[in-house]
Amino acid sequence: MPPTADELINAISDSVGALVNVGAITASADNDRFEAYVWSIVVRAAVAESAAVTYRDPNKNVVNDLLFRTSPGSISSKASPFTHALIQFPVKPELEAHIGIKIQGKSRVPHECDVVVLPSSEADTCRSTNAHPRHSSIVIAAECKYYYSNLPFRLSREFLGLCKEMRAVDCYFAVNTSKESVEKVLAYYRCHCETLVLPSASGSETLLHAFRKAFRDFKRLN
Amino acid sequence: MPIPEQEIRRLFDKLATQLRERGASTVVDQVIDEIAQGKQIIYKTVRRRTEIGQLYRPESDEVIRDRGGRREYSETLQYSSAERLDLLLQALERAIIDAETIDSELSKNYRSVRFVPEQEEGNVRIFRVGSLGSNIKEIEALKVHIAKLRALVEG
Repeated sequence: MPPTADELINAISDSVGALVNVGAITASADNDRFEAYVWSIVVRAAVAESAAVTYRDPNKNVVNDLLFRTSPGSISSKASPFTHALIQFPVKPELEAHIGIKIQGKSRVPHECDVVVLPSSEADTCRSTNAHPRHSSIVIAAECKYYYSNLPFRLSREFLGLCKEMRAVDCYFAVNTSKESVEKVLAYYRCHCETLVLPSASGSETLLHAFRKAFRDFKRLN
Repeated sequence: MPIPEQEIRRLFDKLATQLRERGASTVVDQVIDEIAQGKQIIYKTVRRRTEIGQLYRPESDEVIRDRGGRREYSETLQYSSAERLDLLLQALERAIIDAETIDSELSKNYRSVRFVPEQEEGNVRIFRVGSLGSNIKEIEALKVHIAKLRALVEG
């Protein structure tokens, strides 16, 4: 006899309970993983554009075990040897890809950016002077959101605010889910918005191509 | 035969309550927010009433003109009971199945990825990617239960 709806709901709740007990459904951890996933797409895009990529700690030592922040901090922080990707295009200035650092916006107020690509020269200056990188130096600033539901509308307003404080052309909105109204507002203002960014979903490939274009433009201009 | 509207509403409430009791409040809260926001915006054209002229808007930065005696208005549609239940099931899939996919993708490409707090935080979280991969059996069982419930609700 097939299970009733009530029996299925009990079974779903029991499965979820068991998974929660072993660490699943932790929104902050899921967001951290998602930022790392978007960062890995940045790295893939750089490699696809012929860059050599190595993983470094703040002292520029090569590392194989990656260490990231659970919440945004300063690029100059010496609290832990957080990892960044060093991106080297032949005969071009070196770039670095970071997770969760603060960037000084147009108003000169620091903003938290989930995934950032910036020139190594700017990163070096900031590490040696305990300063935040300036918005004008940024090559890519990705705002990453991992949501269980469809996207809340307020996220589009927040992202528009970030675009206003950075150079809008460098800002990318990368999310695992979607919502027509959010996409519509961001499209109206010509923002980079990639939805359904998940392994083997279309959004990851579209985002990869958007990042590749950003790297191609960087190479053309430098 | 599809389940009646009122019964689906009861099932939603039951699942939401049980998920909260089992520590998945975030999933329920996000879905409740989504339901409150409404489903989608539709646009409809309304004929202009001749006795109402263009209002004077000294501070408006956009000129909105009604062309051809018609005006466009927007309306937010609400989710049905079945759609609400499906939103909750979709949210569970994102919270557990999609999260595990990202976790396993990272652990496939990198030897070790660890997250630690930069500063002293009240709720210190230190975790590694790859930790969700050990729950595959439970995740597979959840997928089956969700698929069966969906089939039952859709009749």
